[in-house]
Amino acid sequence: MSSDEKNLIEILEEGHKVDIVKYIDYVSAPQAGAIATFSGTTRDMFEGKAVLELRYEAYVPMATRTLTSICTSARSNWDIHKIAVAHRLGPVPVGETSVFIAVSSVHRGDGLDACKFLIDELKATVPIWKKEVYTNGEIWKENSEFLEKRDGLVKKEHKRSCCGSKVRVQEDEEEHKDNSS
Amino acid sequence: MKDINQRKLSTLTKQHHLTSWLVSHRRIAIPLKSTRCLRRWNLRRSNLTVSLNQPPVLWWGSSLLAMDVTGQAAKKEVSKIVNDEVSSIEIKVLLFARARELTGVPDLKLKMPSGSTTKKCMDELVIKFPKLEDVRSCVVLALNEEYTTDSAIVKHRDELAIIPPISGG
Repeated sequence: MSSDEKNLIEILEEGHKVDIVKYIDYVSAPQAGAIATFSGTTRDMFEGKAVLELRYEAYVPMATRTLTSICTSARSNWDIHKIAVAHRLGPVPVGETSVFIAVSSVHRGDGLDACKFLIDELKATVPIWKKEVYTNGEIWKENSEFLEKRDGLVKKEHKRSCCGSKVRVQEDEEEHKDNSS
Repeated sequence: MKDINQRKLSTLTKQHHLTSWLVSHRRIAIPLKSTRCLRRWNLRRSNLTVSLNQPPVLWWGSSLLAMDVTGQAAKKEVSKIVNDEVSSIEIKVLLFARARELTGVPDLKLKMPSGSTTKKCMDELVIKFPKLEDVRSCVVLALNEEYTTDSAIVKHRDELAIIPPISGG
């Protein structure tokens, strides 16, 4: 089996929930003694503010391409069998899953480490954006992983976070935010 | 032949309708690449024709006016002039998240001079959409679905994406 056939990468259209059973089934194999998973879900609070939902959008072709590249990197670093990555677009209410990663491996060490790598790299490099919607406003989030790694993506200088401060939240002061799930 | 050219040129300088052209050019620039047939020039009452034979010559009636004595050099110069006229390219620009909100459009076509860098494209976008200045310092660019630098050269039909700080996961 080529490595392409062992990776399942899906960017789900708005309204499609993440079916985690499907992805766990995909990575399962008799020879894999471990399945490591990560599920990112919408939290109800961020810094004391009540979150209604997250809204996701993506540069889909590039996101798919970047995820494929991340899977290839993971395979070169760890001995893993299959990978499944799914990211949902559109509104994701509190408690629901926006991103799901499943990795199968013979031994758990490789699977767990690869799983962590995959979500860390996703947050640092994959062109997907989320808007956090509160009762009194909304704000584009910025991943700290991206801000730290940005100079490694392109050879640029003096990059900094800025979009998070540019959306007005009614009644609150403007803030710029980092996000981690 | 060169003597004939000089004699005719000195006469011609008195003739206004040829002055700016011949004198400024010193030799004749003939758009050889863009024409497939004899090109006729009508300058007031003169009957001026350009022969595309080698070497290219300029006739006024039956009189030889001037001739391109530098041959190849002139051809190249003209080719360059002709090529410059057609060397603008068109790229597709995609805008995401905050960048899209600031411009109001998710994508657009952008015409740029051939050989433009991604930075120049961004400069042009900021001119078209001054609000983009807000995020200029924090966006990264992607060319044909790969992260790119300010100095990358865009080609015709490339896809340039304006990528504000990401927040997947």
